[in-house]
Formats: sequence, C-alpha cells, structure tokens
Amino acid sequence: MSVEINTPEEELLIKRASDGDREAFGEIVKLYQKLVYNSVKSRLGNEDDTMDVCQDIFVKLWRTIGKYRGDCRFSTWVYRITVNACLDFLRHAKFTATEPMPTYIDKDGDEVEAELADDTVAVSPEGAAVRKETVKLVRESIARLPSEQREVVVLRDLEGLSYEKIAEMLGLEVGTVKSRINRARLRLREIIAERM
Amino acid sequence: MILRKKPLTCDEVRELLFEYSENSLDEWEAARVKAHLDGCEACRRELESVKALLSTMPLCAAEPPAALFDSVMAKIGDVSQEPKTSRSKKRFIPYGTVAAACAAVMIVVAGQQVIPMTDKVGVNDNGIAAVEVEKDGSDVVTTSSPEIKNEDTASEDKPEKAHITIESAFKVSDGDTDGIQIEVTSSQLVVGTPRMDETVHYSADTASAGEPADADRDIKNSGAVRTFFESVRLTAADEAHPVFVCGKSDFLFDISDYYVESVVYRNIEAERYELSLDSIGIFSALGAETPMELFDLLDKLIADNCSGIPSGMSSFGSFAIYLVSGE
Repeated sequence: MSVEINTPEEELLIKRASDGDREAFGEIVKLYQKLVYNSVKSRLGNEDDTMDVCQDIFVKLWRTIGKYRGDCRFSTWVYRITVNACLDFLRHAKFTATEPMPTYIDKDGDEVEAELADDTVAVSPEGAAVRKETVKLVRESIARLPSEQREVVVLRDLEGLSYEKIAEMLGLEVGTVKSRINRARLRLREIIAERM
Repeated sequence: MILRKKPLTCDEVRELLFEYSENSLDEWEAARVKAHLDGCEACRRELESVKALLSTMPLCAAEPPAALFDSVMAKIGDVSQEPKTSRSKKRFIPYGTVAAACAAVMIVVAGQQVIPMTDKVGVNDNGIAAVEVEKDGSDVVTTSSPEIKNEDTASEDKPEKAHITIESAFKVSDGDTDGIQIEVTSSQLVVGTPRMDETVHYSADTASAGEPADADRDIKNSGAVRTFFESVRLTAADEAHPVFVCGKSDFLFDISDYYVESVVYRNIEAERYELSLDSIGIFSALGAETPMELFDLLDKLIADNCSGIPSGMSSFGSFAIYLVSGE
C-alpha cells in the first residue's frame, strides 16, 4: 500500500530545514505550533510548563530534523516528539494521572481563560459573551475528560485532523479511533450536562 | 429485497448522533437514524445540541502565544543540527499493517532453542520489531537488520556456531559498534521449536480505560505467549545466566527513555544492562529457574514500564522477545 505521506511543499521545507535553513524551519514552526501547543497544553495544563516544553520540542525538532526518514508523515513525527517531550516532563515532574485543569496566564501573570481561536464570524456583544461562556464551559469540560479521550478530542475536534491521520499518530486502527472519539464526545456531553 | 430491522430507540440514536452529524455513518444506518429523527422531536433537539457542540469545539483550541515562535527562533540560533540520516526509500507502512506483520517474535534460549517466530515481517527502516535472520555459508546465523526473513534457523543442518547480532534494534551505548553480538553454540540450538504467529498487544493504560479486549490484550492473557514460554526449556547453565531481551515494535512512539532499569519478581531480579531507542532493553534475569518465571518477569517488566507512562502512549503494537545466554 503506497501512501503519499507529505505534501511537496512540506517535503521542500523539511529538506531545506534539514540543510540548516532557519527560515524554512520557521515555516515549519508556524505550520505545527498550534498542534504542538494545544497537544502539550492539554497534557500539562500549566501555561509556563507548556511554553517551556513547546520550546524544547521545536528545538529538538530543529536539532534532529535531519534524522526524519520519511517512514511516516512528518506531522506524525512531530507529534511523536511532542508526546515524548510531554511524557518526559510528566515523568520528571512526577505528575499523577490526574492532570490539572488547563489554565492560561495573561501578560500580567494572572491565570485567565486562553484566547479563543481565531474566529472571523462577526457576532453581537451579547452573542460574543454567550459564545465565550460556552467555549469556557466546553473547554473546562474537555479538560475533565480522561486523558486518552481528551487526546483524541483535541486532535479531532480542536485541531480538525482526519480519523486516518489521528490513527497514524496514535498507532491505532481507524475504527478504534472512531469509537474512541465517539465515546469521548458522549462523555463530554455528559460532563457538560452535569455542569450546566 | 428490503432488509428490515427493529427501529432504533432514542438511546441508540443518541449514541449515533455525532457520527450522523459528521456523515460518517454508513448509508443504511444513517437512514435508520433519519427515520427515527423524522418522528422524534426530542432527538431532533439532541441533534441540534450535538451540532452546536461540534461547531463550538474548534473555538476551544488556543492560539499559541506569539512569544512561542520568537523564542523558538531565537533558541535555535545557537543550536547545531545533528548529522543527517538518509531518507527511507520505503513507503510508509500503515501502523495496522506493521502491527499485524510484527507478530515477529524470535526467541533464542541459550542452551536449548533458536526460534524464529514469524513467517514474514514488513517494517520500515526504523522498524524495531524484529531482526533479520540469515544463515550464511559457514553456518552462521546472523541477525543483522531490523527485518526478519522467513528463514528457519532451527533447521536440521544446525550451525556449528550462531552469531546473533542485533543492530539498530539494540544499540550499544558505550561502545563503538552498532549492535550487540551474542554467540550461541550449535549444541544450544534445538530443532523443531515452536512458532508463534500472533501479534501480542500490551497496553496498561488502555486496558485500565476499558478498551475492548480485542484492541489490547494483556500479555498474561495471550495464550500464544504463555504457550511459547511453556515450551521453553532451560538447562542448568541457563538458570545461572539467563537473559531476556525485549524489543518493542511500536515504532510510533519512542518511550524507551521511560522504561524501568530493573524489575523484581519474587526472588528474581532482572537488571537492564542495555537500552536502545527501540527496545525495552536487555535484561539480565539472574535467578530464574523456570521459563514461566521468565514469563512472569516479562509481564511484570512490561507492566512496570507502562505504569509510569501517562495514558495513551504506552501501547505496544507487538514486541519481540529474545532469550539469550548471559555469557
């Protein structure tokens, strides 16, 4: 079975970056920083830790990009590094299985809700307030999902990745991913209902 | 002919609403859901709620702070890159294919058996699951790459001497060579050894999370693994220095850094004396008197490895086991 694993644009960026082209690597960072950031954030919760780990991930990516062998999608490789970095952090931080709620730090150092993803839909002030509350509720509910379910929800519903890509990233069958995501969403609805 | 089936209940429909919203149900099932929705206002409201939730979730993704990009670019200015590795010429093999193929388990029991455990294995160049088994002209059995060929090393014309060199999969960290080499004399090889053609999954966290039994099976529950270990015979010499080596084949996640350095089961202590990127490690299991003790030890080792790793990343697609002499 032959699978086209990266787009030609990605391949070019990877090649240039592995040749030491920092500008090309910057493009790669732009492409993947949202995935990396949200994946790390969903695992670690704390903003400072998230930023530190994200930086470490991209530095490692830069250092080792020449080791990427094209055996899997580049995104999978990036995600693997991301997951390993999180595991490393959690292991050394001796976190328990119960991760903290994701919190976000504003520029004044206060923990606040994270900035919403870019949304170009114009809404009224009232609508915006309702939406913000809704997003807050959903985000907090996602944080209460078991980590395994939270992971697939982040990849599918926050990052919008395909079932196939998620399956590759997690090393699971597509069917397993689908059922896990469905269970996660159903559980999410229960959590939301409990909190309303 | 029209196949008829009992109409879906509200509970059943609500289990399917997310997939229905995404158009990921098959046509027939989608039609059944639609038929129910047409006559059930409550479930239609549920559907609207599901759609609202699905449309809200993308908004929950946080935008990375701008400082992240800047700090990364500043940091890499001082960081040099590691030497390149040549890109694989092979195409990506979907995980499922690899997992199925990597039923590859080769077990070498010092003093008794050389057991190639698979018919075929297709892995990528980073593949770790297995080693290539070849028999050269001088009756030397050599494992030299992370792929297994269908070679029956336990054939009638037993080699005088067997070299098991495991490169890539088990890299020596403190030496100049890329592999370890273990010698097994011909008298230690046994004909007619059992084969195991089954992929064994092990995942502590998915098991605890209630995954279906067919998705991840505990090694303890694998009849094939148990049968295999039951078939192993140890000699007195082996009991003094048995070593087992576990090579994980889940190439998607490098979690080897998190593996334990030793494991104790009853009176047996296994200490890791080698660990590589792609393996659980090579453990010296002094004190094991029976193969089943090694089996228990292996299970404990994997469980210990998994226990310290947060959920989701500790699943094994399959693994390779090597039991070799500690000499």
